[in-house]
Amino acid sequence: MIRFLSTPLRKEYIFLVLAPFLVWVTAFWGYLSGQRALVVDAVSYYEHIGFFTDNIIRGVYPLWNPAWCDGAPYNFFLRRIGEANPFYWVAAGLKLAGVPQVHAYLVFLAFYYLLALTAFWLIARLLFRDRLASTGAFLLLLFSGWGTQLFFNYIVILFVPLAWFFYFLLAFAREGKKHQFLGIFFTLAMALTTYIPFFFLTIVGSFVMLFLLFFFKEAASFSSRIMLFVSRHKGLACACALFLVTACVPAADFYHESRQGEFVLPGRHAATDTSSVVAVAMKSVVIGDLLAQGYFDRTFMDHASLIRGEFFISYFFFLACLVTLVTPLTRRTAFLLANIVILGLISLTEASPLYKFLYDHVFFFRYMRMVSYFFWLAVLPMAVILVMDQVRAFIKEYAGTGNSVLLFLVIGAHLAFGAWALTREGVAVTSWAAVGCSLIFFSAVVLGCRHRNILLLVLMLAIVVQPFQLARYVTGNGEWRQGDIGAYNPAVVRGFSYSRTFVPDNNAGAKDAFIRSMQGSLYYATRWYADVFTHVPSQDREAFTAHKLYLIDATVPYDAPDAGFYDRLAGAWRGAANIAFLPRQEVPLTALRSFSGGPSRAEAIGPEHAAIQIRSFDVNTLRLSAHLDRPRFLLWNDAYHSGWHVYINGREDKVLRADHAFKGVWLPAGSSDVVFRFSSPLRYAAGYLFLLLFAVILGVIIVLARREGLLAAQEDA
Amino acid sequence: MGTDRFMVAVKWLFTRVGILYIGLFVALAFLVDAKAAASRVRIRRLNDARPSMSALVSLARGDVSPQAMDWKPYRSYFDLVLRYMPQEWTTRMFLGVAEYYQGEPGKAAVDLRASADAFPPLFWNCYNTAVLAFERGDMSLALAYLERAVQIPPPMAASAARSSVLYRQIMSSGNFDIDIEKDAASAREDVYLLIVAARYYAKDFAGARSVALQVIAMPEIRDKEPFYFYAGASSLSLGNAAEAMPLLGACLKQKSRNPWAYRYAGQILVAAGDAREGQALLHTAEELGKDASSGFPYSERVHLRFL
Repeated sequence: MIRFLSTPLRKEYIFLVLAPFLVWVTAFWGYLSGQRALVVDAVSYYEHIGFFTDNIIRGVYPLWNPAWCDGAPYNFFLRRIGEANPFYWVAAGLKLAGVPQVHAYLVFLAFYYLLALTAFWLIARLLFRDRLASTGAFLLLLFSGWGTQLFFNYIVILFVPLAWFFYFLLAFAREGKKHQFLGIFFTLAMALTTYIPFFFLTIVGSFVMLFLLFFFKEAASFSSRIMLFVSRHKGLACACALFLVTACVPAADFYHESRQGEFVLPGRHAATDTSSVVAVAMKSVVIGDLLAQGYFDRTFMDHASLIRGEFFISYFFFLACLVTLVTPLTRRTAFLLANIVILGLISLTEASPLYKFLYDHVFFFRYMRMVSYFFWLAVLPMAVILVMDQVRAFIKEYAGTGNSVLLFLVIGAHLAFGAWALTREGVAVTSWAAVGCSLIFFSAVVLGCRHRNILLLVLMLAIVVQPFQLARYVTGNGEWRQGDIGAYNPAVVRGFSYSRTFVPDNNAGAKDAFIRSMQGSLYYATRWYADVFTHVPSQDREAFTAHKLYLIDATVPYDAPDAGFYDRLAGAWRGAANIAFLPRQEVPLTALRSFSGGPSRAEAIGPEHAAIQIRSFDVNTLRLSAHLDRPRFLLWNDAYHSGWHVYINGREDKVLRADHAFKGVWLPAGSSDVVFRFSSPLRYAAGYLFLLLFAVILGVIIVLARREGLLAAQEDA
Repeated sequence: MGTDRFMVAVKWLFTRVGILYIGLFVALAFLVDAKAAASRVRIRRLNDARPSMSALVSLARGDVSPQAMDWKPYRSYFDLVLRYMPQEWTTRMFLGVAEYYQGEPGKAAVDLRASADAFPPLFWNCYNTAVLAFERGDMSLALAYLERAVQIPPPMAASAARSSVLYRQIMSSGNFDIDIEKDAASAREDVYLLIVAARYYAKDFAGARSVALQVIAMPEIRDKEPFYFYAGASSLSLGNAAEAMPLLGACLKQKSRNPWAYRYAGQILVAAGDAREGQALLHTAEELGKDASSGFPYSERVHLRFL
């Protein structure tokens, strides 16, 4: 029984988990203090989570992002981050307390990583029931290249629910407690609220299949216990099932949305044969597989050039693999190794037939791109568990035997490894300390050292010293942060931006062909915006959309958006013409009007405009008042989407798709109160309830855990 | 007894973790396409190591001097390419260029010559081999490769370049705007210049004079000043001052900065009795500030090239 609140456990957590974690923080202080820059996907997630938390703090559930490609539905990014995660409130809370955005996020990142590793440590304790082995496993993973992923991509978001899922599953299998049962569903739900729960499903699926293969009797027994539990706690079981179904709704909704065609992801989707834009072509997956990443280029050499995202681990890991080859083979060993091999083969994509088979026959494999993540999410943690399990078995089998053959093997393995390491260039000097401490550790075990604390200390030195130096190299090689992280500007959340600075590029004509060739690299946008991005010269687009609102006197129809249309559109934008193009097939005839006495240029609206005043703004809603002497067309250079609604003086009108990609509405003469709103009140209510649900469930788990922990303490007493 | 011990040992072995790893490696040998994996890793490493090719384009255009370039990443990349593809002769030529500018002319000469011997249609490898031989004073070697280079038609040289991965990488740079065929054609002028100069400095004055006069007669040659010089200097060396003077005069008419042309012309005039004109030319030769007794007057025109 895990008595989390009991004193020995707390002591162990503080000295063997928290204290090493603080050492890890000092190793990566350059990153965690904000001096070194986050890069690649870590920046994207900083932006997404920053945008989300800034809105939530203001009571706004963001379904639209006006700053992304001149406006895009935000559901895709909510799925990426899994917005129902109650731990985002840590970042939000820090910001509310006045901590600057960057530091609030970095603290959240460190906290979240500690949360993941805590689950891993608890799993190790459950499996090994041995402080030395569980501490060794925790330290091996903590002081591996895993930590550098925080500054490079987003997989900690996936790892936390995965690690806690396995903890709750294993704990429930042992103890059958309510909070553990609820925890299984909570972590499953957290995984399902992201758009890529498929990593989770693949890892859990592989685990379950192989568990049935290697531990059929235990699986049967576990199934019986689950049935018994469910029969005794029907209410809880029904509530969990309902919660899980509810958790599937956002992903299902997003999948449905992805098939509607209103947003596009050109890079991901090219050359696939599915209608969902989130599907990934095989050639895109290959770019994300293990062979394409170069994780292992500097594992054994050139340590001083290590950078974030690359794999390193204490040499103790490899030496333990070698030395423990002589330990007894168990089902658990075979089971873990089988999991590692299967997930490893999947992450090799084309180099193994397994991935191709799964891509062709299992639907969700068409939605996963970065299959190399299986290495960090499952292969490495399982390999660490496997190696420390072997170490534990080695100690159990050979401790104190004084076997000279075994001692010879231990010394020989270390010497051979050391000799091989000598042939590698640029090996860090602390690597020899790791080899030396590992030799002392295994020799001490064989020779019968009785002092477990000394063994633990030597083990800690063997595991920590070398990676600490490597972590310092990684930090030292990190890019310096220049200004803010990424392109996210919190100002976009705080108020309406009438315009942005546009600096014409005098060489645009000469470079336009080059610029056009770059325009195909749009990541995500509404499909009409992607059209203008591709077909209209960027200078013309950026010059016109530098102003968000225009009053226009004439709307003209266009038929097919062919090359001629884009030329006319570009010309109109270049001259800021007092005209807007509406698709003939989508608008009523009454929407096609013109006022002959109007000026030649469209009237850009600024903060001091006499006729239009912004009353309120958030990312989903724009409220303005208009005082016009004649009917005029309000063009809002924010991307069109069918989810937008407009209300003029309380009555709903039709949002028109204007200038192919943007939106507008005819305003009547006189005074009008105009409200643009994205999506429906029901959708927002559902969103808020969803966030609340997850927070409540987490609270229930914590309360139940305390209660069941205290009850167990009383029973033991 | 022995059999029992053996069986115990075998049973012990087959219940160890090691046997599982062995079985696993055997299984992976069938499950993993090692060649495909190695090929993927190779491609990734090559792509990761690739330096900026636009800098090489700027170098070819003369926008940046080779001494100002950091050749280390280029040399590392060329080494890596050759490690995976030892028969990549174009890359070997580039490696030679990088080695030269990193102060290793000996290695450069070896690699350039290896490239030229294995893949002469490229033209630039023959040219560069000749340039290095010329700089070292090995005129016979220089002539051998110059004569190979001049036999390569510019379309063939352009085609050979386009077939090379490295040239294609350079040509795909955003700042690439060079017509490689025209480039190869214009480089032939420098080849003729080196042929004439190599013969001259090898004291084959008759040969130098003959080739120089042939080149002067070619309408496609734009800059005939050096050829007039070497024709005149060769004639003078052959003792034919009467033939040398008009040739040197034609050289000077093209606003030559070659002090030897002024010196030789001045000496001829002084010997012919026109001391005033002669002394003026000799004075001009001194003012041009070079030691007229040694050196190659057109050294700034001739250097290692790849475009």
